[in-house]
Amino acid sequence: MERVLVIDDDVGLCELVGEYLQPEGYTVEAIHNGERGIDRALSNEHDLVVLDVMLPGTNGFDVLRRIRARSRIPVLMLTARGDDVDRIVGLEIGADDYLPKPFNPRELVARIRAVLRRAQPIESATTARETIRLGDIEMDSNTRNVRRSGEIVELTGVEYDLLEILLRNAGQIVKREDLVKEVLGRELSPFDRSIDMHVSNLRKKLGHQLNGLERIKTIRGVGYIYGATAEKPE
Amino acid sequence: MKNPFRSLYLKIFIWFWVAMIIINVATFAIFALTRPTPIRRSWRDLTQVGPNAQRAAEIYEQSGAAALTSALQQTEKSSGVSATFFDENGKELSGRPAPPGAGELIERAVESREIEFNFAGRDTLVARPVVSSQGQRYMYVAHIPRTPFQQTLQPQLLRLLVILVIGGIFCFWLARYLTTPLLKLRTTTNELAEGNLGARVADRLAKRRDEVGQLGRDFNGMAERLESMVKAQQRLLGDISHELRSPLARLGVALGLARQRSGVEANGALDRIERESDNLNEMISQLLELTRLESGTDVRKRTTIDLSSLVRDVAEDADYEARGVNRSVQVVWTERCTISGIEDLLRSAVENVVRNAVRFTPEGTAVEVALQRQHGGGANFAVISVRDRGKGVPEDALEKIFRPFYRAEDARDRQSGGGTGLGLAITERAVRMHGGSVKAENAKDGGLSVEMRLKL
Repeated sequence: MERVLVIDDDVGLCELVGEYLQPEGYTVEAIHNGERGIDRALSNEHDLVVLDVMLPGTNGFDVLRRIRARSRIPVLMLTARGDDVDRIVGLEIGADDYLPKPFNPRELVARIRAVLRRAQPIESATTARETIRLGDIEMDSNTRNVRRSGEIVELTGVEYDLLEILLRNAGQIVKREDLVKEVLGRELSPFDRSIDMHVSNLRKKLGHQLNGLERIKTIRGVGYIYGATAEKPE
Repeated sequence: MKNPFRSLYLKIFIWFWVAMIIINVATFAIFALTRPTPIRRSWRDLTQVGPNAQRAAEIYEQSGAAALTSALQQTEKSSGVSATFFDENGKELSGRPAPPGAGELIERAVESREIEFNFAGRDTLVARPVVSSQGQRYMYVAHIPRTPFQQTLQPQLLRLLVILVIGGIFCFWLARYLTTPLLKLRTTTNELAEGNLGARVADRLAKRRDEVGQLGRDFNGMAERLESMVKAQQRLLGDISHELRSPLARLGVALGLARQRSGVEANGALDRIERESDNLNEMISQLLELTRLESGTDVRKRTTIDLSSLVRDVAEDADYEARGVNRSVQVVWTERCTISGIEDLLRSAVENVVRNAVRFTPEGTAVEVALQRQHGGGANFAVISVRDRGKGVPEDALEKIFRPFYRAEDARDRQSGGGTGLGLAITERAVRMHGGSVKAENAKDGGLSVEMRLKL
């Protein structure tokens, strides 16, 4: 049973979510205020945090910021629907994914699964310890550290996975729908721009340019390409 | 302030300056035209009349007519007073021409044996009886001219020049004094209009005790109230969205639970509940968006937007959706256009029109989207047009479709899951906020064409 911490002031909703997640294989602990939520999130007793942006008292972003200062626990943000500012800010601070509220509980379960799957260390697989190097970027798949010109760049889980796929396919177009599927663990739906937002954040963190060329180029209507003229990674 | 001559500053300056000059010129002119013979000069000449007469009599008796003539000429040269000298019988002795009116004056003086004056003309005429030391009687007639105008004109011009310069400086400061606070007030007003609700008139202006200071304080009071109202409005919007959505969120999860626990036979009803609650949710979102647009409290940042890629993105997504219901969306034409605006807002503006078109176009047809640059009235426009193949809209309803919740008479579309009734209203406001306009018309060969014009 994986343990999910829900930080949301809506007591009724928390109860219902707990009830819904139980048969799906998750135990839920619900906390209704930010301060206690931070304490609980940092207790190392949970696998994932579901965090509402609209919290009384401490605002959801502050809670996220304070959790991120001390922990890498996966965080799924619940944002107000249609409020793009919330979404962008949330992802910038380091949320792993977001879900607009009101949500479909099936969607919630799918997102929780995707985020948790990403968070699993992949040590068991064929690549015990692998380092991807390309240009000025170095990715350590073991520690999930990313360095640019030797300096550590703080990436969220989503951004790390996104960069990994782009680097492995450097010089080739990666389709948006593939990126959404692999990185966010869901099907691309029309009017869903979240992958573009993650790419834009990644650009911001790594720098827009690589050797005077665009680092991550947008191929309109198709997808993205990392370093159009770059060599294959080692 | 396109025309500098329309600025209050220049108006005040010029009006006051010109007024000052006109008043001075007028005063000077009136003074010059109406002033009597310069008194000081006349008095000096008048006081000299007695001694001069006596002296003339002595010169005549001792040295003769020629000496008298030259003495009188001397007097005229030095003082401008031209004198003539008569004996008892009224005969001129110096050989100089008698001034007009002299005869009558002499008669009066002979009779009264006193000095007589004639001020009637421009000049002063004086007749002075005189008795010589030898006992002879004579008559001295002096013609005292009025002081010539020319002699005083130069100092007058200097005076005018001084007034011009000093008045100019004074008016300059006056105009500045009056208009500077107004300009400051204007800057603050503009700031407020641009959405900086914290804009206030500086203390220096607000603390003045005159009318401008009052205006400044009133302005600050108004801005204060405006700010609190807008803040309250924003808070209300946030509260509404939270309060209305909380039950919807619970409803959604409860619906999921019901699905987990119920059999297949409940699916139809549960689907319906889900669809209606989605619809309700969409309506709340759009209502909030519309309120935000109409209250002008949007604080999102403006960026430079590539319209052609925005239009293509929207069309692609809509096409993907439309293919599910056996319709399609085609981009028939785009041109490079960039515009400064709120990207999400413009995106949803275009999206609403395209989705609306997809809903009304018959099965198997395509919605056509185009982006064109147009030039007109000295400005460049980006024109986004979206055209469906449906039945169009009655002519009299073409403008009404941009009203919130407006439904065309033939409202069968409602059953076919047709929108919230707010999409086009949002489009219209969003486009207007970007300084553009929206127009709908029925195409000649059928179908509705919606055109969004955005100023570049």
